[in-house]
Amino acid sequence: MSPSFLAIDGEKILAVVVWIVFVFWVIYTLVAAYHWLRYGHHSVIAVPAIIVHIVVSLTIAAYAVSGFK
Amino acid sequence: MEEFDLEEGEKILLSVRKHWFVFFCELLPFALAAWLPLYLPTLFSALMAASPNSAQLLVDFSFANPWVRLAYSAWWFVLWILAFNIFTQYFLNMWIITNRRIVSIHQWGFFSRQVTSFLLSHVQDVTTTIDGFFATLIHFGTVRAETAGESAPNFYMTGIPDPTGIRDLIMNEIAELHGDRTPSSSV
Repeated sequence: MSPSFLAIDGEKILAVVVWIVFVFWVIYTLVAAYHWLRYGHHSVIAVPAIIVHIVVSLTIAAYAVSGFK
Repeated sequence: MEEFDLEEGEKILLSVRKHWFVFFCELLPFALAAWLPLYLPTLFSALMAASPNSAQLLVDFSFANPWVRLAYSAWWFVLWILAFNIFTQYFLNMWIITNRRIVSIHQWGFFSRQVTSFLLSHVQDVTTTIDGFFATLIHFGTVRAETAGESAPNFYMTGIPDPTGIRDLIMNEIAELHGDRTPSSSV
């Protein structure tokens, strides 16, 4: 019989890891967006670049958790 | 500009980033790193055919397995963040040539940004280097501006498009600053 602390649900660990990654991603995205908007030399590329980053990231994240309930 | 203020009578002549091919070469390893793992299921299938004993271990390695999708996605996510960093640096880093100075704006990371001004009046010699097959073919290279004094550092613009045109532009502006006293140039 295994100790109770080893009886951890893998999907619960996954949920915690996904939240940690999500928080990291939000901070990264905010910092990147700040730099693009402040130092982007008033370029029209700045906003589309941020949108592409968000869309691609969310697509990857959605694929990552697909199959888990 | 956000990074620096133009002096009275100063005007921007050219803003230049690295050549698109340099950017492409920086992104290529990320594209390969994202693409190559897609062949792992094929490789594992071949291993299964060669070694039936490993079939049980490898049978679950397919995109139908959510843990495999998670592992792939984690890998692609890391690659995407790194590639987006490269794109951000490519776009935010630039050189601005005015009629009085060259300004280098360099983003080392998200929390380290360097803006350097290099007065054209201090320039003694401007050298261009176009080195390599692709650099010669699509015309990108390095411009190096040297100063008269040993205390001031040389100024490099690496991987820029049309280095000879930019050198000529700098030389013309220096000639205007110095009147008829034109500095030397070399290729």
